Amino acid sequence: MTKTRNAHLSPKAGDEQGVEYARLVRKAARGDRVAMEELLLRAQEAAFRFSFLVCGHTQDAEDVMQDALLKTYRYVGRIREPEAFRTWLYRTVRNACLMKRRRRVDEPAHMVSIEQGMPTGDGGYAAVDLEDPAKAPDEAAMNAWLGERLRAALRVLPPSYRIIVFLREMEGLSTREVARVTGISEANVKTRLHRARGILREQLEGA
Amino acid sequence: MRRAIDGGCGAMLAHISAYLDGELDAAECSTIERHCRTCPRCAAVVDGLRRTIGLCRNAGKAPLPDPVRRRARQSIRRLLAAEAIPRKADGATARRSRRRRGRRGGRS
Repeated sequence: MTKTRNAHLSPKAGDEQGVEYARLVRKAARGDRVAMEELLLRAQEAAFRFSFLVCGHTQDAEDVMQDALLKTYRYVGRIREPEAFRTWLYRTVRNACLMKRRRRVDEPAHMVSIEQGMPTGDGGYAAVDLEDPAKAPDEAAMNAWLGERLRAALRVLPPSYRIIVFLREMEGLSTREVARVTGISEANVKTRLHRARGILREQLEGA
Repeated sequence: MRRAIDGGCGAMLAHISAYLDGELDAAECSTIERHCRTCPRCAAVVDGLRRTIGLCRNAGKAPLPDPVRRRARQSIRRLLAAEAIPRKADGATARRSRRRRGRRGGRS
């Protein structure tokens, strides 16, 4: 049977974003300062969103942003595949978040790997709480930015699902790109996304 | 190869993400749509998932708060300014060397 692309949802901007990233990378590599600034801004924004939404650490966000800034700046000069830039960026940001977490010797007990979540007695995994919003900087701005309901719903997701929702739905990466960033199979990405969507729907609609 | 959707609620829900992502063929889509016309519960799930996905995608498009963007821009300017200084210094050194070589060439 022939597969068709059915427009059940509005088309995602993900593909266009990937093309735009590649264009910026090429121009920046040729010495275009405006393109470099735009690319560096986007890299930092992606780092902030990842840190805030997936890891739940706004206090780490500045460090993760700085890391993304420097690594992107160094990487652009020697990049061979501009189309692969987005995957590289999110993998870099994810690693920076993980390293940041490992470096914390005084980490509270509820902080665990973003891939695992908190093990429960029945062999499953429970969600890890995101940072207490009251302690986060720019709280009002962050709430306005994301919406309290969605933020609360994301908090319920296990971290291994949250990263998939973030990359696929919010950042617009393809299933293949998400698999490359997270290091799991495409089939696994689809399974987690399917389950995550169900949990989010229940949280958002009180089903 | 994917198994045909039998039209029941369970099979329908198992394929719902693939349906919403446009990964099913026309026949599979028709099966799901036919089922939803007669099953209000599944139709509500499809609508709810559509709204959920739409909400996530819109959140992803929203620009970050101004203070965050301001700090990001400041970091970029600092980095690019710091990177520009050694280049300028290199240029000045090269100009001095050229002048020295020129003077030596004039004397001989």
